[in-house]
Amino acid sequence: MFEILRKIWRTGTVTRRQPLPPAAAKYRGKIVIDPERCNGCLECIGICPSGALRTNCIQGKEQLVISHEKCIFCGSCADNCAEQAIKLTNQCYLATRNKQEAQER
Amino acid sequence: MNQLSKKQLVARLLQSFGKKMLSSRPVQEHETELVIDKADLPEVCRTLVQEKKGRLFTMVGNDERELSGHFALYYVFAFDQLQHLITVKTLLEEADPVFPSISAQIPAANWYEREVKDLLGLRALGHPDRRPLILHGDWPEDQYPLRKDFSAALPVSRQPDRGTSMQYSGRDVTEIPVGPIHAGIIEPGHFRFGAVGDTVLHLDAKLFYTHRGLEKSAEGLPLTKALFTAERICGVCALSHAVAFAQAVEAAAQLTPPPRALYLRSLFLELERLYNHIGDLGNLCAGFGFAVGVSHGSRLREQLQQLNEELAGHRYLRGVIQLGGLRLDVTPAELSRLLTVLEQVEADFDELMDIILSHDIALDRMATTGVLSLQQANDLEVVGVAARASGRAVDIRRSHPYAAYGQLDVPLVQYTQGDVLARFKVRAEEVKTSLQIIRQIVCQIPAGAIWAPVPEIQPYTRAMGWAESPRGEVCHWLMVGPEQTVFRYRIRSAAYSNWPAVPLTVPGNIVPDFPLINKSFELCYSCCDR
Ligand code: SF4
Ligand code: SF4
Repeated sequence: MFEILRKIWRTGTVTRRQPLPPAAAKYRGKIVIDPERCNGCLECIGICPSGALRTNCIQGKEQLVISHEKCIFCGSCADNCAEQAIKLTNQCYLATRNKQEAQER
Repeated sequence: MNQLSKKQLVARLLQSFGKKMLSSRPVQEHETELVIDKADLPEVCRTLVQEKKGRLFTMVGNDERELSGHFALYYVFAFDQLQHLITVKTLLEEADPVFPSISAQIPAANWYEREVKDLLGLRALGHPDRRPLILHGDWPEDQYPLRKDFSAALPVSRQPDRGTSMQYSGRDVTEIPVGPIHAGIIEPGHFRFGAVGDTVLHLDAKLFYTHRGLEKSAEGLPLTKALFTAERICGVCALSHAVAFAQAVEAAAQLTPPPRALYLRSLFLELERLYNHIGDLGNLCAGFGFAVGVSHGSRLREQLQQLNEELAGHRYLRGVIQLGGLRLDVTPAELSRLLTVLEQVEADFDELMDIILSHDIALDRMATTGVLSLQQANDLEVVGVAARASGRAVDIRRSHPYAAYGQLDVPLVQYTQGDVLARFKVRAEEVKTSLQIIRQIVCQIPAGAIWAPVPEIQPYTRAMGWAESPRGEVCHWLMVGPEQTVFRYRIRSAAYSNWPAVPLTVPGNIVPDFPLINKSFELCYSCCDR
């Protein structure tokens, strides 16, 4: 009994309040596409295992868009883009109240 | 054992089959395939298991009508002493898709035989249990999803449920149905107890509520994408499944990944075991209401998962494996950080184990509860922690080394009591051996590349991959189709081997001990159901 109390006392509180520190640097989080670099080769769409990438006409221009809902954060697209137009960031707080926002950005 | 003597030993093993063998050929380095007539199945399988001491590793049904006009069955037996696998193959005519059952003699074949009936329509004649296994009673009896002419895209109209659960009758027997929806965050399974007072007489478990048809959906996928399916078979053994799949592909391509990749795979596999075992030990305490154990277990598990995130970018170690090696490397700084964290966790863990294992109520609840006898474990080919707690020495890291385990010292942890306490202690000691293995890896890890390109694989090559997941060995059987796609993929997880054993351990115990027994096996539902 004494050992149990001692352990509880020594451990203290481990839950933390938000905002929490950013995820680890290696963390595979939100995908960010740089439309300036993308040359439209569409290599990444073929590679994506979850069908998260597609093209969309934005302001009269075909652009690559990503659905953050479908993405499984595997990083295959970023690894295979010759132009390095796709970057994985360590952003992990992707919850949103606006569904549209999660779908295409 | 040198190569020659192994060849001779395998030849001797097969000698007794003489005329029954229609043909035999080596498949991979570690596997021999023999083709026999289906009438000889019971005899050959019985000889391999009962006389030659092989164990049923997996059994696969395959629709090969477009290749040879037949269905095929593959029974794979593992010979741990020889480090060899023997596959018994038999062909079934499309017009007569039946074969003699071996379940009465080899109980471990029970589920496999019922599964090929459900999914491929291949019927085992003389099987003692004719209830459907995977598709339950509301699936039409003439629809077989794994046949190539079944389209997964078409809806299937359900029929009235045929009622496939056990019914209990008799005076004083109370039937207690539990699930499939449970209180608490666990997966769906329907348990039906026949109890007299508090004591369980019989338990019937109905699983496969989370059958997702992963094997069907993987068919036709490029191998590189199927890897992501493999990673998602199980939430907590993601890495073991990914490694097993990658190894199956590499075996088919006859590729050995670079040494550094093999060591890193072992490293991550042990990290997976660590966070699982420590979390499971904590969760086991919930079975007897010991909240301190649960909290500290999850706290340590959290620490390990944050370590996973730092090293691999994912708390459950997804996205680490690539066909031909690994997708990411670790730096020396990360390795030393790893050792520091593990040292802290180990000291903390030792204290926790002291507390739990010197707690009278904990010991009282765990000892002699839910006993799995060695005979039962052997008959059902139980694997993993549950097997080793019943005195069955199976650990595929030792018997068929993969990744870097051939170069590492992997001690065998074994208890003989077969009760909840033995399973608890096996996990606790395996945490220590995993830490030892990780330290060996950090000392020995070679420098170099972490990936090698996978050469083209001939269509219809088949191969197997396996790994010792935290729950026991998983085995992936793969046949590659044209253009580097999946033709047939059969996943046999540890839970699939062990679930049939769980209901055997419950009779004689009181109903409130079931959650504890269930937690001590800590089986996954979704990787069993696939
Ligand atoms: S692979 Fe790169 S360049 Fe090609 S479409 Fe995708 S983001 Fe653009
Ligand atoms: S990270 Fe993976 S899932 Fe997400 S968009 Fe890229 S390829 Fe697709």
